[in-house]
Amino acid sequence: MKTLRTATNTSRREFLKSTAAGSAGLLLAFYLPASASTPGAPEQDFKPNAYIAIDSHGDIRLVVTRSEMGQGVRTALAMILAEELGADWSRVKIEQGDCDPQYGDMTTGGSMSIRSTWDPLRKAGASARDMLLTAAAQTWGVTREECSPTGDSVIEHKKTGRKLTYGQLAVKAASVPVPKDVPLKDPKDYRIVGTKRARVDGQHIVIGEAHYGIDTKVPGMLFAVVARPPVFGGKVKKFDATRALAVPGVRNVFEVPAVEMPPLFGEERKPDSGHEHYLWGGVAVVADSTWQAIAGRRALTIDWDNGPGAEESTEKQRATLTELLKTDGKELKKIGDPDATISSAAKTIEADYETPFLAHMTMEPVNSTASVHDGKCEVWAPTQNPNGMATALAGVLNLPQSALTIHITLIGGGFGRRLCIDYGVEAALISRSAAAPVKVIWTRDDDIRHDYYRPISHHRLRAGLDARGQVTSWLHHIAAPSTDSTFLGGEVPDTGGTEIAGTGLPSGTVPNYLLQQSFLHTAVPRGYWRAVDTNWNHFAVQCFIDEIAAATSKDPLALRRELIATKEKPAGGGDNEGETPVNVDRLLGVLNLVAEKSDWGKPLAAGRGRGIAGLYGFGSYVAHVAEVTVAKDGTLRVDRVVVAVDCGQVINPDLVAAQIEGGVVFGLTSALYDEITIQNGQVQQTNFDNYPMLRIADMPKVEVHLVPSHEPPGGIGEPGVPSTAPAVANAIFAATGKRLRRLPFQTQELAKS
Amino acid sequence: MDAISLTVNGQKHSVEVSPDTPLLWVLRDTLGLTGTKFGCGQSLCGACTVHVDGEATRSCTARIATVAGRSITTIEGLSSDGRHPVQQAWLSDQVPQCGYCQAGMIMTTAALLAKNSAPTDSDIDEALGGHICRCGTYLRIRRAVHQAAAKHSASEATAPLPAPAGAGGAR
Repeated sequence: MKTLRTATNTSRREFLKSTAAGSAGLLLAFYLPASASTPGAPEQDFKPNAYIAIDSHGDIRLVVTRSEMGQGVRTALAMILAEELGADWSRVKIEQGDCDPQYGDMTTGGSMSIRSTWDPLRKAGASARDMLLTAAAQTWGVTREECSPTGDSVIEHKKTGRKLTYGQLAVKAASVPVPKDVPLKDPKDYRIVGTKRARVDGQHIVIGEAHYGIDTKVPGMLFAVVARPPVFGGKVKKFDATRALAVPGVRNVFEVPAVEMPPLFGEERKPDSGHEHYLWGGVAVVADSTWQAIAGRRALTIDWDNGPGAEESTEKQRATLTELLKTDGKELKKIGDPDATISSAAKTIEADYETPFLAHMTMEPVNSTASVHDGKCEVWAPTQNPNGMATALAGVLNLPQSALTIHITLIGGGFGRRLCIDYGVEAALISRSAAAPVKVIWTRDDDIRHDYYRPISHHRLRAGLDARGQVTSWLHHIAAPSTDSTFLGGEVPDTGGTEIAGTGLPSGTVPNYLLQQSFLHTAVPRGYWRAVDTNWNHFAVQCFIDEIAAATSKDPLALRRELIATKEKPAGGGDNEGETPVNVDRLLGVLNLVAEKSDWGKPLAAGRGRGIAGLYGFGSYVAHVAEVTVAKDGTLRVDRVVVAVDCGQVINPDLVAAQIEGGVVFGLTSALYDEITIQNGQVQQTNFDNYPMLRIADMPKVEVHLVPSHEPPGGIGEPGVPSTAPAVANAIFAATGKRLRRLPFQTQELAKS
Repeated sequence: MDAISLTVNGQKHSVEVSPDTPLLWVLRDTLGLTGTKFGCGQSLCGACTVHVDGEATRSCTARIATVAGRSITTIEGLSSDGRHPVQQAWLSDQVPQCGYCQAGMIMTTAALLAKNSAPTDSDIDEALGGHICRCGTYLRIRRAVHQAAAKHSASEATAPLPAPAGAGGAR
């Protein structure tokens, strides 16, 4: 495996950020190599490129080069290929590609999978279809113009009614030169794209035969768990393995070094950046079964050097964040003269918001299996970031990338956790030390206590209004630890979901604007959590718009229409690198659609209320209306969430609906329940009892409405999340007149005294 | 370690493990039946649910010694052909996203329907209240339970959505 470091990699991280949403100009280098070399495949297979192979029986193999973690990417990417290929969907077989340079960047994140493959996969499919058509014309001795694909893996000669199947044409097509610039299908001719199709892996899931990373079986495989430092940045001082080694089945106990790891996405690390990206380190217990390894770990005695992180607590962090908001932070964007205009404003509105650290809590706990021997390393990993893992493995094991094989398994939930590469590197080090293939399983408390957390944040928003009630200045100050600095060091701003990141609100109507961030320095590692900084920044922004509406006696929807009633760029100019200026018509479109479908404006009974929020992010336009009931004792129930989505060309409407339904649940869980708290530098939560999830009885009705469109596809994995919490907060205000500005909601404040 | 006998999906097994070993790890590590999932280890999420003598049971906290001699059914053994009404309803409604929790959901639903052929929404809330789906498929789960109940009564299968015949690599 050769190195994947290319110029495009410097922008990979940016793609995971909402600021990079949807610019075709920055699409990843997703090139089409001449041919996939599948070992053992018959020579007569037609393999026009790395993604398609057709054998003489007509079986079509399509290779998917992104990670399946429930978003339906194996289905959707195959649908795109099959559409342009003109393939009979019922004869298609889908294969998961291993990490391989021929596929380019394989990162699955930032709601980018469809966006980054839409053009190249269509071209790959169309190019193959064109070669099959040429082969048919040659076979019949007719012109290409007289031949056409039927869409069922068949080329037809209409004049004579002759037909040849793709299987019959495979051998001949293999000798046809790869054409350039084949025209793509007109969307009106789509037969697969845009239709509801079942997930390709559904059957395996319901019969228990879908194989996740944790289900990996390798001959001679041992099982391991690791005791990791309870305090972030802590180290093993000494340990006693005597009792652990006495546990039946325990083979070996050894220290795992806290090795330094490279950044996640091939970025250049800045010198003297305070880079903190280290493997956790700890003590590994290797045994014949998972349970024996767990029992062995319980019998370990470890003396930890906790380091300075032990001084940290949520209480102290919150106090620091409050202090940070009192003095200016790093200026990220300034337009006009916000300080002067807010000082002279006829009316000012100010509000502070707060969000906590959050864990990913994927249902499949973190795990990886590795086999390191004879200068080679094979890893089976539920990973969203195989390229980053390969870079780290090569560096840490001191092996050339050609010595690495990374199998991308089915993933039991990713949500950004598996963009991190720690667990793959850890498994490889353990396999090397144990001199055997080893599956490293993280128990639930390992998983929640050694995550890369969605950052804690405080926000101060201020708006200045003129005498007519128009917003003339808008100031947003974020206090938070930098997400990216976990991997890169330094202070990298978190602007996703802010006014400047193209969420579309306010948009061009506010002439004076300031965004700044103050940075909390903490040993708690931060990472990418579904919708990334968009979900916490957007909570503050969307609630604040509602506060302005209330202060000016305007309807929250009407105020949003006012704030985006301009064709100009959003407040920040929308000119960040990679940022597409918001299309205000599409943003208005989803706001209007959600209002219509949710009966916006129709009166509700006392104690009930509706709230609205909407944004542009990840290439898509999404608006939510939440409907809630608040009982006199403060009990909150979310009854209904209506979502309008404009994600451009829909590949599979059922997958889009599922992602939005799931995004609502993800957003609600964070709004209602969850908070990672730190005491003595340690995460206090251990499992689902103290980090609860929304359950079936509390599931609101969710309605998803899609805007028909042939615009290029937008992302869909993340955009369902960010508007959920602010829509609910705004609904609570509508129901009670009380503002909940802190997540998770402190609903005791809603009880009527 | 004494040998412990148990019947799994109709097959008798004798395993030599420590008696405090949870059934989950015997199924997964000893017998290689990985369809039953590890989620929390404390009966908090339901991903590991199997049937013990027909009762939905959390295998992550059921010590092997307590199920000795009993009959265990896992997701792999729920039906011989993957066409149990609950499995069919799950496909028809396209319930799973990541799918990791769904074996547990399906096993609890199958046990529920065996006792209660027409569960109400509150019956469903009670039966599945101990399960977590992080992807948030609850709406579809509820629909699928009702559909499976209807099918269970009518004993006829509804055709699932079209999917490609071979999705071998998608496992």
